[in-house]
Amino acid sequence: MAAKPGSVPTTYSPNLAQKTRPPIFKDNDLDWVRPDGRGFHQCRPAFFRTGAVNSASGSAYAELGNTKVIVSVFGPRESKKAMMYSDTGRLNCNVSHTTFATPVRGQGLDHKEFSSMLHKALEGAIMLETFPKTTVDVFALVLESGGSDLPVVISCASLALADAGIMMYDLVAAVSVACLGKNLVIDPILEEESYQDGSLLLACMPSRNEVTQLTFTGEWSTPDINEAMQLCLDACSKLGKVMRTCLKEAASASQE
Amino acid sequence: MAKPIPKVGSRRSGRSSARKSARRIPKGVIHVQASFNNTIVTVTDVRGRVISWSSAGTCGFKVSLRKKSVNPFPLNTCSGFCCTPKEMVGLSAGEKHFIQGGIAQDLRLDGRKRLTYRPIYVETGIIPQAHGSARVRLGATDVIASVKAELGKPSALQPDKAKIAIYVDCSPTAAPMFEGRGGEELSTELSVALERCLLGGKSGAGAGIDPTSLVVVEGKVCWDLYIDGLVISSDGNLLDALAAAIKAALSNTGIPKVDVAAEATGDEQPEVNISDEEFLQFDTTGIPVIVTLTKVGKHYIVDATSEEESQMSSAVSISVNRKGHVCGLTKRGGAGLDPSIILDMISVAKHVSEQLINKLDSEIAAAEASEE
Repeated sequence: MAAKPGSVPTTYSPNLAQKTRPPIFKDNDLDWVRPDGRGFHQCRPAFFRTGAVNSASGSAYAELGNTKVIVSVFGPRESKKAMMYSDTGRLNCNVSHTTFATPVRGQGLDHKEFSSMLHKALEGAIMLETFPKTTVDVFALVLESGGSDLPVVISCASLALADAGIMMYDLVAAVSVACLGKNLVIDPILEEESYQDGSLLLACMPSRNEVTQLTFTGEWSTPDINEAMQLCLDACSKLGKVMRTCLKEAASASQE
Repeated sequence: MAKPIPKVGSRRSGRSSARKSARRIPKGVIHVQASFNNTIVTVTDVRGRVISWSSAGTCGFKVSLRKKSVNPFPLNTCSGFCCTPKEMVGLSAGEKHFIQGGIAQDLRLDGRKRLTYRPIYVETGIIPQAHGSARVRLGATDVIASVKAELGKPSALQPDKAKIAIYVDCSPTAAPMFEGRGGEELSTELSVALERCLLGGKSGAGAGIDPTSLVVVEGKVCWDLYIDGLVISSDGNLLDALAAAIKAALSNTGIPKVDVAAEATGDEQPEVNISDEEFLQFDTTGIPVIVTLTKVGKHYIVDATSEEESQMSSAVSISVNRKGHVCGLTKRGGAGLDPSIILDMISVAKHVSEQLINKLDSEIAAAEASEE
């Protein structure tokens, strides 16, 4: 699938770097290039499309480089009898990988934590009190894992929720940054992720400027944290615009 | 309890009010019988003598509602899909207000300030079968960590690194909802958060435990480390307690010294002698502590009890090492946070961690000394 020419902004790279701190590339790592030829602060072109699955209440497909994700949303439906009474709605998230998602077959299947991370990233954005006693199911499937899987899953899931007409405060956009040596590399691919020194994932609601999920691994100093968070926030706001355009397109297409 | 519409021939015609004025009952028991069809609430004294009762039927709930098996008295409106067991704590509106108001005034239920930890108690070497173990108590929160090392083979992709795995088990003895699969979600969440905070990035940078130090023969033999955490009793702040227990257990760990007997050639596994007398100790100075800041209202507190955790909007767990570097961060709880608040939380956590590391180190040293 490819984006329609001129309809969707092709990339959402943050432009903050040029504004505040010019010398990112130190002399000793000037020769270092990313495997796919991107700049350190350049994101992969993002492609989103809603309505990928017919039977679901809402669904979305996302493609960033080699990472391909499909998310369907079912519900809200009545919560299971065994569940306790709740005056707010429940969110049930599940992330799975296809057996052929990774270079080695069946390698990416053990991502149990992805489901709970997705749950926490979305929970803060959904108005759960609008559907009491009911459950919304979010099922995500990683068709091809090409790095930064979880951020793509989160962004795609929020788009699918919007497609399903679930009330939300804002779309949730997520971006990750990898720390390789002294460099911060946005939107890392699988190869970069495998030898990263640290990573940071940030999911936020761009128009409310609220962080719904944030995780770090590896050792970070305060200036690095600041820079990485600024990068992510800027990238998220741009990714949010791309997602919004996709929703608008889908809405205008259905009206015609 | 609201008095329902008086009925002719009801057991509560006049008599109960007469008794109410006659004697005061300082202690009582409320029995609740909730079925799919009805809910009956009975108030008795301690010996079980009925003082008054009410049922959903007498309060005016109609058949249509009951048929749908909707519980007419949401006794304990637990917010369902709970990521922490503490959300199950049933608090009245007054109690909630009291907790929130106290936190706003920097005086918590147990008299602590917002950024004060509960006293921390450490015991080491409690499990003889393990290579290292520790028990940490933080108020009513009680956790055990054990470290076991097994000789294994490093993976082909990373021949110079040993495998380190962290598992957390939430025992049903801590809370009934941990029974069966109930604790699974919390266990996974805690294990992932601990791995993220203690093991560093993919390349191993920033890890508290150096995986290269466990390798005996590169690509052939290494010590695989299995770290198990067990929650015995839960009263909030499990992550901080588990991280402290793991740090204590690792400083208690002695890995047997291994001598390579005969250097193997090619693909053969080399023969090794495991020494019974000589043990290698870990350098635990680099292992970070985890500080969880729980946001209640506008303020954040450390070391929240389960009552306080039930009032949280969100929590951020930050692991900080002795150098003051952030080694990992996990956000829990649903509500969104402003980026500037997160940065502020990180600087607060760094400040709190200094005291916590010093306190923990002295406790561990004391525990080690008393063991010998």
